Order: sequence, then structure tokens, then C-alpha cells
Amino acid sequence: MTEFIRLAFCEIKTQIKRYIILVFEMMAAFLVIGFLCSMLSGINMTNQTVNGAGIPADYYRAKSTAVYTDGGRAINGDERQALLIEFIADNFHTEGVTGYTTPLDHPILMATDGYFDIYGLRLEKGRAFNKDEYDSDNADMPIIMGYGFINDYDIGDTYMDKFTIVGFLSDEQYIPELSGRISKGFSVNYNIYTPIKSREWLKENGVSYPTDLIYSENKSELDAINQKAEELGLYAYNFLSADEAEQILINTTSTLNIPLVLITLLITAMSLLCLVQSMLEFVRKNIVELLIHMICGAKLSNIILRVGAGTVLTAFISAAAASLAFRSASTAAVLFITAAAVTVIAVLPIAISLKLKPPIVAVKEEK
Amino acid sequence: MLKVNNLVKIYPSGEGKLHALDGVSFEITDGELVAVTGRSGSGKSTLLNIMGLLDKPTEGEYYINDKKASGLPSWEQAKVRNAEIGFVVQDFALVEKYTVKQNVNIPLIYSKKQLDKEKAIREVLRRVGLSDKINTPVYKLSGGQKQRTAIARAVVNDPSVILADEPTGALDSVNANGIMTLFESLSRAGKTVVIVTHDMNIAARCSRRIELSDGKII
Ligand SMILES: Nc1ncnc2c1ncn2[C@@H]1O[C@H](COP(=O)(O)OP(=O)(O)OP(=O)(O)O)[C@@H](O)[C@H]1O
Ligand SMILES: [Mg+2]
Repeated sequence: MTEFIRLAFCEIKTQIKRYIILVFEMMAAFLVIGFLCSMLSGINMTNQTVNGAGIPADYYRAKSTAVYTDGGRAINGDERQALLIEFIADNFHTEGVTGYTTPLDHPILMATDGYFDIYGLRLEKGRAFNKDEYDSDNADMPIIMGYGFINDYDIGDTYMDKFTIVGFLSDEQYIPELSGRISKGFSVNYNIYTPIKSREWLKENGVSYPTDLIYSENKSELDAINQKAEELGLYAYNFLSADEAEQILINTTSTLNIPLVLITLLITAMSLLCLVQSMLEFVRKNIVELLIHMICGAKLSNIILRVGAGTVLTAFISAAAASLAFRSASTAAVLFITAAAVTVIAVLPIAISLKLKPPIVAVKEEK
Repeated sequence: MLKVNNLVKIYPSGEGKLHALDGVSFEITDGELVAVTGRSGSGKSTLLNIMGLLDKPTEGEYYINDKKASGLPSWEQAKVRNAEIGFVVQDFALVEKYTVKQNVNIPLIYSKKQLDKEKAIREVLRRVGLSDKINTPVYKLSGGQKQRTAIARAVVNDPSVILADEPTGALDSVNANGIMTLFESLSRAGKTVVIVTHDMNIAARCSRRIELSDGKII
């Protein structure tokens, strides 16, 4: 083992320039591969979200007939939208979140009573909100944080002088969002939730009521909303059931991404080829000079070790660097597996062919 | 002591076979300075490569210091090559972009001998007259300087056997003389030295001559 480290170090020291260039070449290829991975995992994530969203059948999402809006929530500053939201909140049962952003640098989402159940959000630790914490107007505000905060805060901590942390959500949970062409699942890892306040409190503080999901036993009851919209001079809305919303999610993600995925696949294949190519060239160049070492008594295993150790190190350093850019364990795993595969492809055939020849033949042939 | 017994090396050539070595046997005792001579293509390099454990004979045995070296696994042959043999290849086989010092250092990377490596390199370069080129990359050297670098590399790890394929081929007579003086002093110090050469003056300075013709000793 010490021999291995000594030789690897010796190898890299004498070839530092070549190694640095190779690291950059490999990083470029790994970035492309990583991009493909994150794209594929994006689709996968959406599918998971769609499958796992579990939105009850008798909830509807509002969708503008003209353009997608933000799920039917108020568009900032539009007085008429605010009135329509009032109307919906007065006449229907709704679920969802609304952003409470005013004095804070990180927005806090006010969630309705049924929100966590509807989207099936699980807690990693701590407690869920109590019934009596919803729709209150008292001053204390409990919060549940996304998994992304779990290392920085603890239960019982005070956040922004005002909020008390009571729980943390588990990792890898997503909320489906309908935002036109970029409809997909959004991670809740960096969300912070607090129970929705009373209507009066919201009005006083200028926070609109959440209307992401509108409950109705009979879709025709929702026509009242469109009548109101028409009175106010707003666009008419479509109301999508959970099924229809899922369909939109599936359609938008799949139709949008397939050509892109294909192109990326192609580029990935090409950069993989380049990667293998430059690895092979690199190994061959080094082998030629290391074969001369064999004349002076280096064992074949010394040489394979030297080249192998250098190559493995380069591959793994570049895979690690590229992984940092993606911050995803599965992408990192793919990159490291690729790195290992490329190294084996580059080193193994040469090692075997050298094993079969007497040194002088190898030296003469490679020269 | 070196001993080869009935060495045969056959290369496939077109339809038939080429007997590059055809039953070569001889013994060389420690401290001998031997010249191997013969026409071009007579099998001199083939013989030396086998004696340097860089190639395998088709048939026959080879002993170094009474130990059978042919037929050893390749990693053991590498050990013997490093510790016992200094080899000067006909076309030098230097790493062009390395400096003289880096080239001469190669055997020492793999050596298990307790040597003062720095000192060994400086001493051997002094003896071949390359002290002033120690940090020059090899591609900047003349043919003769390259040859002397190759010789320095062959002797730096203090091997008991020195095998040199045309070590003076690229040298003028002054430098060739100097190298021969080095080989003579190594042989006086008990090393076995085998030189392949075309140069009759060089051959005349050796204690013995082995002449090859068509793979046979004549
Ligand atoms: N790898 C090989 N494959 C086939 N034939 C070979 C190979 N190496 C050498 N030979 C043949 O073996 C014979 C002996 O070659 P060798 O190199 O030993 O000659 P040599 O005496 O060293 O000649 P020179 O003085 O020109 O260096 C030659 O006919 C050569 O063509
Ligand atoms: Mg020859």
C-alpha cells in the first residue's frame, strides 16, 4: 500500500501538467454527464411527485384560460384578483400555502390545515402543527422546516426572533406545481411552514388567502367563481381535477424534455467517447515512457500501478469536482461509476497486452 | 557467472522459420570482459536481450550466478534485471523529455539496494563525462552524449552484470576509449561485462570474443 502511494505520488509529480489537463478534460465530460443525470432525475422526480401527490379527487385547481397563473393565487397588486380570492375563500373550502414574506429574507409559507396530509409530507423529527394553531391570530408562530435546515437548526430554536421550530420534514419530498411549461415537482427541502393565520390577521397583514386547491363535490358549483370573475372583468378559469392536473404535468414534462434528453444523450455519448479517447491516449503516452523503466527493472505491476494509480486519482478527482456542481448523491454515484469504468477501459486492455509480451517486444512495438 | 545452454530463438518469418539463435552455449566467469561480434543480423542483439531477461528464448536455459534465470516468472525476472543487470539498449531507450539525471535515476526508483542515490548518480555521470549535463533534457543531447547517458543508467545501480549492445556505436574514438576504460575498470572490479560491437579495436581490448554467424557461435 505504501508502495502504491509512493508510485502514484512519483507518477503525478513527474507528470503534473498532463494530469491537470486531463482533470479538466474529464471534468468537462463529467459536467455533461451530470447534466443528463439531473435532467433525467428531474423527470423522475416529477413522475414521483405526480404519482405520490395523492391530491383528493374532489379538489380542483384553478387555471386561467389565457395563461397559466400561479395556481389561481393573487397576482401581486391586482385589486380585482384579491377580490376574487376573497370570494373563493368566503364560499369554498380551500387548501394550500401562501407566502408570508414581508419582513424576512427567507419567505415563510402559511399552510392550511389539510396541506401536509394532501401532499403526504412526512416529518423527520419533531411534531406536526396542532389543530388550534391554525386560523389563530395570536402572536406565537410555530414553524416546520424543510430537511435542508436540519443541520443548522434544532427543535426549540427561535428563527428570525419570532418563530419557534417545532419540526423538520423528511428528505426527498416534492410538491407538484402547475406553472405552464415548467410544471414539475418542487423540493420542499428549503421550505419553512407555519400554520395559516385567521382571515382577519391575513387581511391586516396584507397576505392573500391560499386557494391552490378548491374543494367541491360537484365541479359545476365552481361556475360561481367564473361568474364572479366575469363581474370583476377577469379571465374565466378552468378548473382542473387532480387527474387532469396530473395529465398536464405528465404531458408538459415529457413533451418538453424528450428532444432535449436525446440531444443531451448524444452529447453525453460523444463526451464519453472523448473521455475514453483522451484517457487511452494519456495511458499510452505514459506507458511508452514507463516501458523504458521495465528495461531498468520495473515490474509490469509497478508500471500498471503507476499509470493505474495516476489515472484512478485523476478520474476520481474530476468526478468529485463535477459532483460538487450537482449536489446530488445519485448524480455523484453515476459520475464515480463512469470514472471507474473509464479507468478500467483505458488501463485493462493495455495491461493485458503487455502481460503477454516480453519487455523488449513491448518496448519496440510501443515506440 | 553467466551460463547459456543451447539457446534457440526462432522467429516466424513468412512461411518458414528464422533461427535468430541456433543452439548457442557458453560460460562467462565473473570479471570477464567479453565482446560479441558478428555480421548484422547474426543474432547478437537477440542473444543479449535474452541474457538481459528482456526476451524469452524459444529453447535452452540461461543461468546467472548458478541460478536459473530463464523460466522465472516475469516479476522475478524484473527483480533480477534491476539488481543484477545493467543493460545498454542498441538505440539507447532513453526517455527523451526526462533530464539526464531523471533517466539515470530510473533503476534507482525500483532498487531495493541501500545506496546514496544522489551520490551514485553524480559519481556515474562523472565517470562517463556528463557532469555538466546533469539537468539537461535528453532530447537536447548529441548521439554520443545519449549513449553515455544510457551507459550511466546501466551501471548506476551497481549491477554485477553489464550487457551493452553497441555501446560505442555513436561515439568518436576519444569517447569510445573513455567508455572502454570504464568497462575495463568495472571488469577489474569483478563485474561481468558483455559488449556487442562491430569495432575491431573495441573487440581487441576485451578479454574474450564470441563470434556469431547465423545464430551460431563460430
Ligand atoms: N522481433 C523480431 N521478429 C522477427 N524477426 C526478428 C525480430 N528481431 C530480430 N529478428 C531477426 O533475427 C535476426 C537477428 O537479429 P538481431 O537483431 O539479433 O541481429 P544483430 O546481430 O543484432 O544485428 P545488428 O548488428 O544489425 O544489430 C535478424 O535476421 C532479424 O531480422
Ligand atoms: Mg543488434
